[in-house]
Amino acid sequence: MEITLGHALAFAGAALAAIFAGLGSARGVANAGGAAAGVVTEDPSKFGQVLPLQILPGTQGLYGLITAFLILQKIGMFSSELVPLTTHQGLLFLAASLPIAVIGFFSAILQGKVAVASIGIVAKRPKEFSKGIVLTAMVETFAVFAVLASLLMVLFGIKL
Amino acid sequence: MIVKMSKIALAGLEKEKKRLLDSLMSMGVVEISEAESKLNDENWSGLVNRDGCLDRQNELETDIRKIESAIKYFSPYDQRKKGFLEPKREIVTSEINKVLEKKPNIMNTVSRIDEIESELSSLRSQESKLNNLIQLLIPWQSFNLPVNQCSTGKTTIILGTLPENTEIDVIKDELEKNAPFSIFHIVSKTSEQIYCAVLYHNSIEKSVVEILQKYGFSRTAFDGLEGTVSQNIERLKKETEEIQNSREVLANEVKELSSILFDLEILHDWFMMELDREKSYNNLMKTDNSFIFEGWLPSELAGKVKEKIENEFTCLVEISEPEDGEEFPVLLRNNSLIRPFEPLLELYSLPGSHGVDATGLLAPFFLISFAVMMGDAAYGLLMLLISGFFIWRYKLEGTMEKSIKLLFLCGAATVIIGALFGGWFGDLFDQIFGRPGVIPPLWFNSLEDPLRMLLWCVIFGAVQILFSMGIKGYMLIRDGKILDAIFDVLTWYIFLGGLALLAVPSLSVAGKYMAIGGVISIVLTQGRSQKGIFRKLLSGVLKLYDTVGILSDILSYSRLLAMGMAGAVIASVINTMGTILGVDNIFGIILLIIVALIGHTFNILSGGLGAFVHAARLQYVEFFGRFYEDGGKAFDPLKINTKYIKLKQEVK
Repeated sequence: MEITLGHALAFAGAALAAIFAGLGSARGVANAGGAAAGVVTEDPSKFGQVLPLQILPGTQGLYGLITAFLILQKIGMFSSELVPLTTHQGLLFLAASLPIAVIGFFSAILQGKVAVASIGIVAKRPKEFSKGIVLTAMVETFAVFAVLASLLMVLFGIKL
Repeated sequence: MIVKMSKIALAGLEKEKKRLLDSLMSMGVVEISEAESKLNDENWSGLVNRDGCLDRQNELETDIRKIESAIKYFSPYDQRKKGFLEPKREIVTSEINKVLEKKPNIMNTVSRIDEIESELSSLRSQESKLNNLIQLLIPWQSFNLPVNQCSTGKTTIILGTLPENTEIDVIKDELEKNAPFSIFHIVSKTSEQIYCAVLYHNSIEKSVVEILQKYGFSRTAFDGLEGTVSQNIERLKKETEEIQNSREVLANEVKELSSILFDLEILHDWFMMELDREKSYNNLMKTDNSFIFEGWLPSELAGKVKEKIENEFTCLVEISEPEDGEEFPVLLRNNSLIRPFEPLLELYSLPGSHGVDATGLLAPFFLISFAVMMGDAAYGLLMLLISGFFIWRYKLEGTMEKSIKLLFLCGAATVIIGALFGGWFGDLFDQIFGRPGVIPPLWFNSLEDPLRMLLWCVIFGAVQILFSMGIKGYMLIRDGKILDAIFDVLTWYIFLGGLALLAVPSLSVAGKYMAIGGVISIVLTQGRSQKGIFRKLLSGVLKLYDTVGILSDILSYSRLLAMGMAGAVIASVINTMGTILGVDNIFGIILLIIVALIGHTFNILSGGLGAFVHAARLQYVEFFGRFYEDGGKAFDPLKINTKYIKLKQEVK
């Protein structure tokens, strides 16, 4: 089985999705984690409340990984042999990875900002903590739509 | 349903105040309004004063804090088997009175616990100090001279350490050469240091010290010690033993004292009740011998409460209905099937006292939204079983009860929806048996036909949006604004209905005329509050722009598909990873079990959180936007608020 430029492009697509969504999530989770640590310093019992808020910007990374996984599965990396790919098909995979790579990156960072602010809610008004979760999850909407776009393209848009 | 409230005004005697408020507290149905506005009112301010004693409240708070820390201190000695979510102990009033008789004793114990705590910590620090000293002395154990008598008139012994890698022979040679009247003796060696003693004649002190310093000798001094090292170690060990003994004595005392834990808990809750009552005084207005307050209570109980209080106390109770448009505190009451959804409303904001209780309205939509986004029958079954276990095993109360029951209902809905679309741990069984469709969906497979799924999601959204407009119409009719209901709701129904019919080929002509009729009626009626024919028409035309809002709201329901699909794909990825070694060998099966256990647990948690939040969002943004009037203040009656015990009526 010959490795073609198509395979390289498809791998690049999978890598892009995993890299950028993961990078954004890492930033978002890190920012939220910093704020969360501050709150826990003051009141360790709030750990349970700040943890979900810190985790929320992490889903983009997961979506990126899922997209990467699907691309790799579709081109046959987990079966005995790679599926033959043309350059055009490879480009399609690359394009399909873009929504979650780009939107995932930015939405995770932005969601991290809302998470930081919501951790402020936990610090000052712990009872309203669930409202912080709702506010933070709103940003997630767009990552969900982006991963939907990517998944639809990978699963149904590219015929091999 | 929002419970109707009546206003209560009560004037009573100061000497009966405590008993009267206790009685109100045990009824738990009367909220006392804040007295602030009355006290600032000119007509009132000269007549009455603010009640309530801050000092007494602070005192109670301090006591509560002390008891809390004592309870915490005793908790390791708690002999009772305490499960998770244990129900509160049921206590009758006479038991409380028994405890109250012992109150001075109990409070003494509480302060004794405080003392013991500080004693214990000082003992602990002493012990660690002694232990450190022992550690320092142990290397010197074989040095048999008393450490405080290491010199005679002419000779001196110095003790000290050399680095581990020092070459002893070199030092010995050098000492022999340059300081002949000295003896170098190694006491002990560890992996880090060499412990040595050097005996020398005082006349050569300088050269000895010089040589030793050259090799990194550092002197060890035993200030304040007498006798040999081993004697000292023995003494110190004895001392630590004594300390341990006294620590044990104290620990036993704590253990013995911990038998009052029962009473402490009762006392804690009694103090809490006292504090609540004291705080309620803040909202009373008083004269020298009487007090007065205003408040709210559910209308259906008003008669009973009035009768009971007037029978028992010398007082005047006046019940009145709220004035037109006056806001009253909001209490929701729903049947047991709908009640679990109330926290959703509280999370957003309670409805205003003249709004509608949307709990029952959002319940079916929330359930379906959640279930579609969770989208997996097996996940639903797990939620159902776990929450069902909690409901069956534990006596749950309050928000906890509602939340667990909500989880139960969501689980049940997820089982149904998941079975409809064929998700059982994603495609776990397909992967295990290596062929698609092991458990066929009852309806269709949403992963294979996402377009069909998207269509149904959008139809579901359209139904909820139209429903929300219907509620708006109902509210307008209820308030007697029938024309508004026709213009603002019916015209839209005609317009949107026409648009929908356009999609059905056989009815498209009818749909066309309906849509056109709808547009015309919207343009003609929506500007009716404006002045001038031109402005009326213009704002009517602009109002057509709302269509975009409605459409975007409906399209927002595509998240049902997206979340459901993301969850299903994640599940399928987990299954693929789990079956990567095949399922026909033991390693493959072990891998599958481990990966599936971790992966699906994670997917349930993250998917569940996502589904919950997005299902809630659809209610808050898309559904509530059209009709919901929020801003109600929760009904907060004066009631018994306890942590450990539950008051039981005495059986006579």
